[in-house]
Amino acid sequence: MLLNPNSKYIQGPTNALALVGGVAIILLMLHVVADVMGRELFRFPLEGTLEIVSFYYMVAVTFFPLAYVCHNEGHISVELFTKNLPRRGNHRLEAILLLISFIFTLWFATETWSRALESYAEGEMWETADDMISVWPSRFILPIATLMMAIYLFFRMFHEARLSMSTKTD
Amino acid sequence: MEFTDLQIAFSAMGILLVLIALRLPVGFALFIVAVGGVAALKGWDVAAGMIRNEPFDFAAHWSFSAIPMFLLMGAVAHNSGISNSLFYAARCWFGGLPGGLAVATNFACAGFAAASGSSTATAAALGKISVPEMSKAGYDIGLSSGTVASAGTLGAMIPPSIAFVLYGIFAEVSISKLFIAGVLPGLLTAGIYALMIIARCKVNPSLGPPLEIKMSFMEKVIALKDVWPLLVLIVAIIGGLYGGLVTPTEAGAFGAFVAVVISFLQGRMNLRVLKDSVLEALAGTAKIFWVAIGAVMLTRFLAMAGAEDFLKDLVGSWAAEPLLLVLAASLIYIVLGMFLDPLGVLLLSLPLLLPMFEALDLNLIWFGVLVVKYIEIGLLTPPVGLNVYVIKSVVGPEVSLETIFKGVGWFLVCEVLVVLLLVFFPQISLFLPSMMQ
Repeated sequence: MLLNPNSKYIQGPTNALALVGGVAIILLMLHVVADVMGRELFRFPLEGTLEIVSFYYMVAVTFFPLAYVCHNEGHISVELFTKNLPRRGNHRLEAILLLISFIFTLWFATETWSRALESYAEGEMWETADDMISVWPSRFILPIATLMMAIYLFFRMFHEARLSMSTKTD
Repeated sequence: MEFTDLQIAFSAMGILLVLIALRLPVGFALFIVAVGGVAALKGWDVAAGMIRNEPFDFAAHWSFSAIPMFLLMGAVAHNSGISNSLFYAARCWFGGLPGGLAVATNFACAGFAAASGSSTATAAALGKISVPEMSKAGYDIGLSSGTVASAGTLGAMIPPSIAFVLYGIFAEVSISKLFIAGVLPGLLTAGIYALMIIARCKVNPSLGPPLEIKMSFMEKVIALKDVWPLLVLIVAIIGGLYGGLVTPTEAGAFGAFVAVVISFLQGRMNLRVLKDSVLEALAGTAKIFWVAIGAVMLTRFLAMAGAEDFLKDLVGSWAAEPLLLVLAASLIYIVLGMFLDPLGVLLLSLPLLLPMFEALDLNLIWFGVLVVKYIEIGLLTPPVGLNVYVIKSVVGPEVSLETIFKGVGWFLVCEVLVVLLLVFFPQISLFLPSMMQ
């Protein structure tokens, strides 16, 4: 028996990644405000704000919620042309679209994974005003987030395919 | 049979439209066509190299941090009740007019736009309150849903604005000036919308019967007091930005922080409001970036295929005459806007059009206002009119997409007028920024 895409085994990790993204968005806000306050009030800006915001918070906020978006709201799509399809046809179409999205996302995850390993091996760093920060850890955000999205798409695809078989033609 | 690069580019664009029409999410469609196209031109290694680097490089961008922050600010403002207070205050003032609730919705959107940087977020925030209220008062559903969908687009024109942030980054012009440049065009649009609504409801009162508002002038003034959080937010952002305290990028985080503090002082901040707002901003950011990164990939592919030269040749003879260039740009934006989302349009068009506008020495702030206007129009035109989809998700299955698109039609007529005014009277856009020297 295949997992239901709404089961806790899929929803749990999906929400956990969104939570990490949520923490990142709050830290982004606080970090930038602290930097502004430090600079304007005490002439003491927080060193590396720009780099940490760019390489950590932004990457986390952009990619960690991807599976959550699929699960809860759906990515931006156009329904004007397909909304009058019969129910069964709609499930079939959905299953095919999910298959395409799944294959692409899985490929995305494997490519970015190997890129992250490269970055780890060379210990990728980025220069700040007078220091260096490691960038490689945040490279791993992409494969982790997109792998979770691929897993979700995979189970949704089977779910839709099953629905298309159990729905009577109408 | 060998295909030329341009033939590959054209086929790819055709496949893109088919995939989008088949309901494949726009981001995936852009990614898949771009990667497939690059693989057809240069092989899989080059395509894989793009996937390995571009998404990370695009997201890891300091200036783009304004996007999640402006979304967070709008979400906090909405969840702590600012959009509600605005709608009810506007209702007191405009409810008695023909189509009064629609006029109130229109101006409430314009007000909320000052706390929100996104058109879809503005439409969603006001749609949830105003459409049910208008239905209760017997308003025509085409008018009510069309009003929120259209007035929601003010979110991108009235500062702060994610669209202006992105345009400013790509065109390398001052985002502070762009923000200020959007104020008058935004108010002009809201004014013309209001006149159209009143005129239509005057001719046909069954569209939107006036309400009986039994309030004295003083009572109406008192009704404004609940709007103070919005005013504080506006003053904080404008003051911070133009007082030199924060840069436009930092203004996002600063504004979100002020919104959180205000909602805390009002006693409205709790774990639920925080969680809802964070999730809203988070999902919005991920959706926007997924499409944006796909669009960036597509521009890379089109550049490899030589599409830029092709389009330059196509527009070429027109590009020498400013007015013809503006006309050509308008056509490009209207067509792109029909099929792509705002970010896709922006990212695909700017690399082509900016150099032409620069070559003719046209004002890039003025052009920025026009571009944002076109993007807003693109949010309303079928088949890909995102604001219409947002309102559709708010009103539910009883109202069809066609009904909302039809309701939006009258507002598009107004937009033609607004665009003509903006093109022939650049001062509307440039007067306020010129005061900033």
